[in-house]
Amino acid sequence: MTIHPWPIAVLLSFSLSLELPHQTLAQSELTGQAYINWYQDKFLGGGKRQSYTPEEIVPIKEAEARKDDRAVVRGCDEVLKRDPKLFYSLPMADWVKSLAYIERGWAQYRLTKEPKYVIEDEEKAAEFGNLTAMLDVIDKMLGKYQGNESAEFIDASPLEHYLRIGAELGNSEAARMLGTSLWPNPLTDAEKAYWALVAQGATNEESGFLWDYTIHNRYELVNQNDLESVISRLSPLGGLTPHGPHNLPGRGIAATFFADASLRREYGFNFGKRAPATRDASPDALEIYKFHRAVADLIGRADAYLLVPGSRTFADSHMISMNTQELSGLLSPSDVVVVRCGPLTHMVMVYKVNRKASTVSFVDGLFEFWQPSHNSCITTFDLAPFKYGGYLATVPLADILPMIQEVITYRDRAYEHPAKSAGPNYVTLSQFEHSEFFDYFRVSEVVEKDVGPDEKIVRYMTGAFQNKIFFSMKTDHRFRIQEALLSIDRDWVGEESQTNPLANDLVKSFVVAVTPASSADRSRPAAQAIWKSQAQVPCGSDSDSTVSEAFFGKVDRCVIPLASGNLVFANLKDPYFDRALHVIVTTSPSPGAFKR
Amino acid sequence: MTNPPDIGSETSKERFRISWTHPVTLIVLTTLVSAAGWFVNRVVTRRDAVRAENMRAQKQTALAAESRSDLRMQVEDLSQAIPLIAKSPPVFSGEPVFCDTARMTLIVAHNGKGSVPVLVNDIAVKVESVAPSVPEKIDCAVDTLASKPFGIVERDLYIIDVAGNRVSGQYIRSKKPGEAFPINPQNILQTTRAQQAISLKPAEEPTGYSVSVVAASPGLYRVWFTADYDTSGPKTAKTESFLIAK
Repeated sequence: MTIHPWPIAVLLSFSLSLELPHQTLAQSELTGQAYINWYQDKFLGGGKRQSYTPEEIVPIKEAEARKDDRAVVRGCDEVLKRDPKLFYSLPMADWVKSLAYIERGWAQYRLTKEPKYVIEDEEKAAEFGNLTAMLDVIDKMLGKYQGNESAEFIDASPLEHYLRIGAELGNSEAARMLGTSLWPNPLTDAEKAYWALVAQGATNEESGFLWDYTIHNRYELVNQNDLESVISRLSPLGGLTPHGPHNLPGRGIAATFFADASLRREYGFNFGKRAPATRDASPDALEIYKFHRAVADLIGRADAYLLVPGSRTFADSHMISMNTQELSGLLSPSDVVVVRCGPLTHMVMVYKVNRKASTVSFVDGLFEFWQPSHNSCITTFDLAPFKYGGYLATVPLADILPMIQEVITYRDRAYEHPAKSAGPNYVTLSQFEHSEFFDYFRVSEVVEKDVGPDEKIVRYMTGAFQNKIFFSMKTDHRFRIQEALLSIDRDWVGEESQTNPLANDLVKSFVVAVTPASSADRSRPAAQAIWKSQAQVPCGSDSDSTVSEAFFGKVDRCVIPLASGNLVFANLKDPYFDRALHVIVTTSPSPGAFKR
Repeated sequence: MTNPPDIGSETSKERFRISWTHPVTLIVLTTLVSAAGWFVNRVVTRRDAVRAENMRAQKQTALAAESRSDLRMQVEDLSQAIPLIAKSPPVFSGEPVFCDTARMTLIVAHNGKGSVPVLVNDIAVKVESVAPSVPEKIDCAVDTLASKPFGIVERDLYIIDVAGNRVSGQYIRSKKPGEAFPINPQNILQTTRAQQAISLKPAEEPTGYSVSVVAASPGLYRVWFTADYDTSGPKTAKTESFLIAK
């Protein structure tokens, strides 16, 4: 098997259980996490990446095992001086040399006790795209900024350069650091926002909180236009993607960052890649698609669509047949393509489409497939150095098109929530998304995550003051809102003497939008009280406090019983703010029971 | 004219009457019986010897025929390389049709009889166009979603492309750069780098060539292999044919 769900598997492995809870089911019946587990277990060695030692490094390792560091240095020097053409391939020459640098640096350190040898050689290895070396260099340079005495000798000024190497190669930690101000970061706010979102773009977390938090804050710092502009400049995707034919969605911000991060990770993963010697168990094209889709679903930033050349009909609306011309127009970076020439079948990720030159460039550590000597469908092939020791395989678009078996493309999630009414005791997501509140505050959905067999959290963002306002809905599988939570920066709400009319309007409208019809007569007075800053609406029949006192932070908590559930105002510290105002409408008897 | 003396007829007859008990008569008789026995015995023995000789000659002839060295060439494990959408494999005039790409092992071996090596000079791919386009009743749509992306893993793979009247191919020794060569379809043993005849000895394991035949342009084709070889004189062998379509 050739590609390359490894980067995704590696990404997931830290957080996914490798147990197979549904082993009794046929794989065709599995979905989501269960499918990912099945796939990893069957095709990816249980999610564990297999490593190997290149032949050139074996004698060096043997010398190291004999504790003969002088022989290690001699061996490394020989490998580093060797003509790249004498290696299996030019990409492999870069990779092996990066390993030799690391080995040499440490051997020289052991001989001299001079730590400078390690960082000097690791910097060279990082230039060849070696992530292990890059991470060590970054760690040492950050240590310098943090005042670590052992890092005193280090020149940390090139930190940005090495963070960029890491970020280009899909390391989320390096991208995250490029987005912070924890070091003298010269990047613009827009660039920082870009890298921060790349760092979060394809990482898995259970509830989607981090992605929600990051995107709110970055949107507040840079507006949508600036963000789109920096995506056009820095992302290998070259910008957002318009929708396509046959109801194929486009790629907005969230899906673009997911695709961007996936592509960078794939690029980094292909360094030193080597094909297995034998045909191991390999998934078929449909299984590969289902895996990508399950991962996209799990992470919740994008959806995976399958484009198939021809006129075959599929019951699944995510599987779309189209003609080759349409496919040609849609092919874009981060698309996973399965291609075939006679008996030779291969899978690869698109890095670049040059429509002017009519070429496609792939991230492909297993470039051998494209050699015209081996592949009669290919007329010309170029393996050219790209960034940091990596190579791209470039072939004519016209050669590729007849070979395409399927294209997996990441697109916007179609947050389709059934428009059905759920009766007077519930507000559905669809009703909320068609409310005056939703429209007036220019609300958009940020992320939707399954957090249990019958639990889903949907997070939203307003069109302005994104870092002041966070809200989310907890629903059941029928998209009936069980709990609506609005968290606002307490300081932004203001005091009774100096109110923020926008905050008043927002809270009032939110309460109205998410309260079921059966409870409207009980919540409406509270909403009016907030809107008019009146204090006469009590918090329940046996409370001395009023809604306005809670709204302005004079009391910690105010609970108004509804027909089923409660309307709650609470002042507290939460993950978003040190001082937050929570407005919660529940339709279950236990308010605040849901973890966010 | 004078008359012979009358010596009396009765007396003469008596004179020549055989005396069976006379010793001479007994000796003559036993001699005659022995001679007859010897003659019969000789005739029978000679007949048996001739028969045995004939049988031996026949046996030797048969043995000689059986032990003649020859080439064994056949297509084995012929299969559809890419799964089809149709559940049942297509058939044309009662014969199975392979679609797009057929995978097989071409076995070339000494027949194991006789001691003379077989020298294979060439192996040719023969293609005959059966129809310029695939007959409507043949559903050759391949299931692209069932293809398994392995890249290039196998070594020593022959790929034969059939496109109308044009047949081309390449030999992939391994996936490494520089390890694949175009081949001459009239002799797949001949690459741009070298031509090699192969010598097959009786005790050797059969040589199996991994071959994929690809219908690279629309049509229905009949494909088979022939081999020119030498074993006590030039000969030609051919495999059974199969149909492939696109």
